[in-house]
Amino acid sequence: MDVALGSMLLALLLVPATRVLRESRTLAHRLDVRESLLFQAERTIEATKVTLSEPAAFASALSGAVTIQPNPGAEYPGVQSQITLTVDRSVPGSTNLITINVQTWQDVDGDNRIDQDEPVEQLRTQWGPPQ
Amino acid sequence: MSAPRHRRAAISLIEVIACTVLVSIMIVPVAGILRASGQTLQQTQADEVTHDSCRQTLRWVSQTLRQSTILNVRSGRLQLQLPTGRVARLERRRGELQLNDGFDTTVLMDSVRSVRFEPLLTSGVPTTRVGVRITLEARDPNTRDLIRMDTVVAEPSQY
Repeated sequence: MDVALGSMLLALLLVPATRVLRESRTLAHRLDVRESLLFQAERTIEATKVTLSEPAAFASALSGAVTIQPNPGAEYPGVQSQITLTVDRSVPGSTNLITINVQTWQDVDGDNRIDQDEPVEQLRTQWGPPQ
Repeated sequence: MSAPRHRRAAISLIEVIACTVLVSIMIVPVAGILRASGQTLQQTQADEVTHDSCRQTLRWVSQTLRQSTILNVRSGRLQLQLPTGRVARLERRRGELQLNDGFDTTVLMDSVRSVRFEPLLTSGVPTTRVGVRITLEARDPNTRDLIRMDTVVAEPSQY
């Protein structure tokens, strides 16, 4: 009887402790995934800037004819990126700005689509015409 | 006439031995599982730490390069002018990625196996450098796994 009571008390203490540990690990993993996605988004934005530094590519982007395929690093399997280029005409006199919008997400189910439960990061910047 | 009631004064030796044996039997497999889980967790975390370290280093280098002027790009060395005006070298020395500005040496990361800087040029003639690709290879000190990570830094081509 005493042993059974002791075991029950121990189990009562261990169960929440294990749950807290598991939640802590889940949160740490989620933070790591977010940082990986941000890193990948930054990398994709910079690579897009390099592509748009070619005058021909920038002119094509202005006419909406360019498609830039993101190049995810091999170190991040399952991470997908989507690049959207739009011409910014909101600023008078600077119609040559291109807005680079990058969305990076962890494609958990591998369907190449952003699903509601998949972590997403989004970064945006603008790039002018090269000289 | 009722029987005399014996008041229990302490735990008997038999009970203590029985409890100890029971607890030991319960603890041995649990301890084994915990040890195995701990080792797996440690190995996974070590890989994550090295990944994280590579990522943080590359982000720091990218940010520094964006604020600086890149002067010269070689395979294993990059020369830049910092916002302070000092000229610095970014290179691998003694297994560390270092930033040396002639006065101070900052160790950005250790256990670095190799670092490579590759200029990204336009296709037109004359070619212009519009960015740098940085590839970092690091070895995890615990698992000895090799981790390779790269990033790109664009240089302003508007002026």
